[in-house]
Amino acid sequence: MWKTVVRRLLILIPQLAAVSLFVFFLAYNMPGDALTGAFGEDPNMTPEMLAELRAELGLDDPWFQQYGRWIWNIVSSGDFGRSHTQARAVTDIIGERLGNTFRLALFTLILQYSIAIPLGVIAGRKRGTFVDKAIVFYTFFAMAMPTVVLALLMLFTFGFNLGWFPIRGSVDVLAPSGSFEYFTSRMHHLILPAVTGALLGTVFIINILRAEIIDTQNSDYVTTARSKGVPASRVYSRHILRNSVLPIVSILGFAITGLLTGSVFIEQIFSYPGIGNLFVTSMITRDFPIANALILMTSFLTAMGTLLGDILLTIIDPRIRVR
Amino acid sequence: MENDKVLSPELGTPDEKKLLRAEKRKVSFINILWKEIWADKLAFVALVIFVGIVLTAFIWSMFIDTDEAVRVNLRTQNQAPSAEFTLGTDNMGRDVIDMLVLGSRNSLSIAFIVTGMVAIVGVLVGVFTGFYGGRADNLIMRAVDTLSMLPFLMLVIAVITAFGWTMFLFIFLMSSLGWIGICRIIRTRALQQGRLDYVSASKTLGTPNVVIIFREVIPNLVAVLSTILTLTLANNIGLEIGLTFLGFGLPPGTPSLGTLLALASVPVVMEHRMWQWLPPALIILTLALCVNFVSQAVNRAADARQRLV
Repeated sequence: MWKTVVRRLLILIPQLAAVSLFVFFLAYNMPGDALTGAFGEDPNMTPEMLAELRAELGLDDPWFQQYGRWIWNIVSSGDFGRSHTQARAVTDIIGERLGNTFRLALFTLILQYSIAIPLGVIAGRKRGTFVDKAIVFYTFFAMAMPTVVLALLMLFTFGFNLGWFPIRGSVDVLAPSGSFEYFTSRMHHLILPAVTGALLGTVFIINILRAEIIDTQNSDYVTTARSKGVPASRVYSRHILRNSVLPIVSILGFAITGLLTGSVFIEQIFSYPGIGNLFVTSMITRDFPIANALILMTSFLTAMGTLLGDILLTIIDPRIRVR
Repeated sequence: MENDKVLSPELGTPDEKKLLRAEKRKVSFINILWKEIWADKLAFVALVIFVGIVLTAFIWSMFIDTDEAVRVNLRTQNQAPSAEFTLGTDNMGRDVIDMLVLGSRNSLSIAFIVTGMVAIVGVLVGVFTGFYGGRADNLIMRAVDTLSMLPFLMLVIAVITAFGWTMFLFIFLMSSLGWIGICRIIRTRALQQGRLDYVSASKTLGTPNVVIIFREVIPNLVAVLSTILTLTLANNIGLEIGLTFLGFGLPPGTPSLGTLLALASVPVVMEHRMWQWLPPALIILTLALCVNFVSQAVNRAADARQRLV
């Protein structure tokens, strides 16, 4: 098993290097540099002084030196540079939002799996019945539904029309920090975006689980278990589910990163102050350092997510280990 | 494939050739696909609705003078549906129906173009890497893995903002990473196909590899490809609308279903001017649902074990 893990890690290094190079070139060719926005409309800055500063900061060096410095700053001190529009470090700005996105992702994930696993199992178990058909129809619907459309409809129905949930933000500004009220307000704000994300995310899990269960039902060991007289519920919970859950575990890593990165639409529509929302705002104000840092971070997270999924799979499923 | 047994060298007389052609037609993918869609009434209805919407969008838009339709008219701003404007007007005083027709046409055109580009690149890269295999295949697949780590949506938005919006760049970016999924699936299939007897036989006869790929391997992958493409089309419709919704897709002056939808990001519009955003939302949903139902039938046709007929 360790061999597989080490091998995966070794593949990861050149991949991360390539991704960082890619993002660097993107950043390199984008308008603006480290000095953009640093002085604002300061009348004392002459072009000569700016040029001098640029040379001092090494912005005229060849690209590979700049790349080296850039990657070293990120790896050694997590320094992604400074924002163009707000005179602050990019890391601080992102750090403020990270917690919100993380909470949303976690809540969505929990909802997603707790909706999808029972539905998938029921659909697989009662194949061909009305319940199964209804679940399959639901998956069609959820698969067809573009995120934007569902989010708007949810916001309209539950936010505006019924008024059950707040329509924007992550917490009520009037709620005192640290109180129980603060916590409930937070959860209240989370529900609508999380449900939207979870409903869309269930499709894949339900489809896989249903197909896997239908497949495993006919395998020899299930027949053996049945003929020994193991009760049906136990056959499902112990024998079938354990094997059917494998593909779902392997996508867990992807699911996590997908939630962290794919929340752009949802956060934007629900005005939820997270990473996705920050990304869109920073693009509207043309604040490229933030965007570049976010792109690099999400690529890194995706890589980690896939790695995690692969490792989990080798732990659970001995068949795929490298000999 | 199934028609191998009828392909024997003795068949030579015109009658036999005719018979052979008829036999071939019977097992052709299009034929099977059609039967499969006909057998599944839901898919058939979905196909009719989808084609209906597409044709309406493209034909009706020819009756509309685009310049006049998109012209800002301050006197008719935000009017509720009435006899003059059946679906009301938008924030620029333009008839929502006109915007819907032109927007559907634009959104669909882009989705079709992007799907086409993605299919071409994905199939070519996938088939060649899968068929030849070896070190180049390994290297390309590692590169593909690396590319798929990049956050697609963010990348499109960032590049468009940094380098300015042009139609070419927009379509290029939307296609730039979409081919990866297709490439992976096609590669696996091409790998399997490349090891089958008919390919070895063809090779022994001296057929060049390129000819084998284009005349034998790719036609055998059409069934798989059509399933992926229907889903890709649905995805691309959603992607264009999403990007336009965020303000990074088609420019504000150009009608798209996303532009109309984006009006709903203002709470007042969402709450009190439903006629502006609900119709485009419903059209998008209908299109996506129809494509999905059709793709189910296509999927069954592509996989002989699941066929209804």
